[in-house]
Amino acid sequence: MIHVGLTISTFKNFMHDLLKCGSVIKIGWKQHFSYKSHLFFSFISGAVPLISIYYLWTAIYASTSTQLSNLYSLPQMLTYAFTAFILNSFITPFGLEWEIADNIFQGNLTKYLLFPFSYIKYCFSWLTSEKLFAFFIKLPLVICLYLFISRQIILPNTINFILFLVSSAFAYFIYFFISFIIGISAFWWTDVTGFFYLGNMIIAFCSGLLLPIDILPNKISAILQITPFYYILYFPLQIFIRRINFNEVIFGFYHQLVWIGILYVITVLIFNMGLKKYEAAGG
Amino acid sequence: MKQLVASCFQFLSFYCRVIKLIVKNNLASQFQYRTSIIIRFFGTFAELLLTLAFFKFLYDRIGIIGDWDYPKILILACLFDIIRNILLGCFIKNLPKLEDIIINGKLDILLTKPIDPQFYVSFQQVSIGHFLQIIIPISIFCYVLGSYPNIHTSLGNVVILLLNTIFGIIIGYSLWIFVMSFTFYVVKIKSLHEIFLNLIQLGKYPSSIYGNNIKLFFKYIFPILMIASYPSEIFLGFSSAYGSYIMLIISLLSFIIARYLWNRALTKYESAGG
Repeated sequence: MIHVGLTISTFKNFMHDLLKCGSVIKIGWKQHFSYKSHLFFSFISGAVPLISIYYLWTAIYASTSTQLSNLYSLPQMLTYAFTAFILNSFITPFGLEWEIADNIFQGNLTKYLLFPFSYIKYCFSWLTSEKLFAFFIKLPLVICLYLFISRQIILPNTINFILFLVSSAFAYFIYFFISFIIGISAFWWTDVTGFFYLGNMIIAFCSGLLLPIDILPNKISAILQITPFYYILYFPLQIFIRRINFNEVIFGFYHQLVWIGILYVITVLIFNMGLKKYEAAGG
Repeated sequence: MKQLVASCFQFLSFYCRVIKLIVKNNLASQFQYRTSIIIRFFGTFAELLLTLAFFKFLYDRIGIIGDWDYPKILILACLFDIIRNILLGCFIKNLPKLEDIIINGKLDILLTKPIDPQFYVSFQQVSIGHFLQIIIPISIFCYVLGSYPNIHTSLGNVVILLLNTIFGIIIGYSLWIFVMSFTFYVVKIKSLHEIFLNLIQLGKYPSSIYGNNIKLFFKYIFPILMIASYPSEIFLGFSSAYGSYIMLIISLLSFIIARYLWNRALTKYESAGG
């Protein structure tokens, strides 16, 4: 009986938190609306490097001796490169670390600590509102882009596309927790922009944004497979370009969920440790 | 004539003094954050390493892209990084702030100062960290030159490269100013500088990979490929040394056009919020 009571209470708390998160998302959505032109143009400008990606890969595959074609065909590689860019722009918690660090330095974190739910949930809800809004702004552009290059790329079937969306959602959680952990390093370091920069570079490489992980030397590839970075871009993209079977997808989902759990625990632990160091200067 | 030379000299010495003061002040303030500069240094080092690793892993699989073997692509990557860091060192703390300056009417104060507004908006601060980061690509550049004898190096070649690098920087600055001038017309778009920063990424690769139309456009109309790609092509012998004249002409034209557009854009300033 007590057990049932606890479960109901936990569920009620969860729903309560979810509703509050929903409110944050709603408010965030309204605020982000005023920056729609910014989102639109930053996506357009961000898409410029796709020109060089397209021509670079085409030039590479036009080279005489290429071992790459044993691993990826040109359409697969172009699909990988384009989708990596697009998925990255959808799930990257861009600016989250800076926002967190700023709140810590300015003492604004105090205000958030008084909120009826945790700062981690607040950041997640706020970021999700931005990402959802950006999704709808960018979606027509993405569709146009895929239509424009549809002859050069391969598109997934419906099931693969659904699985890709699920794995991308998990990847979003993983990326969020990693960025959050990087952001709260500001509790210990006074000026952390260099560290953020370095962190973003490493994530970009290790997640397979620049090159598919299986193209890298075997040792590096094997090491990256046991890190959460592997599941941020590389794994969802393997589903998208249909290079892995259903069992491998399920196995990958399992790993993604495990990493979400591990990273959540680490995030909470480090955040609580950081709060002990927090001096609320200027807040 | 004598008077003209004297006034030119006075003009230049004034701006040199201003730059000296800016650098001095920035050195004092930015070295308070030495740790950040060091970590950022490693960050950029990592970025360059990742670019080099990207090419290394690719070349291990493919051997060559067109006429570009691995050492030659290293030369291009390093030159691109040197020029990009110089541009960022000079302008990253200034030009992205233009939107804020315009929205908040801060340009009013700048316009009343006895100094050229474009100069002041461009050079208010320098990012010392970015200048320090040039050390790494220069070292790798020299290493490649020393290690790969198939890259022909002579004193004349190096002098031409230095000149072309300067032209490349002028072109980069002019294009950045050109892009940022639109801030006066479309104040709400916050990401104009991102457009420029993304566009210069096109110059990271050999111009030969692009299709003819794109190559022509980005060489002569919006000369992004002239910033680093073309200078390295001249240096490596893919283009004739006479290409330096083209670089000179394009850098002058870019600067003049950017200056004209900046002045035109300035007339749109409404001093809102000031």
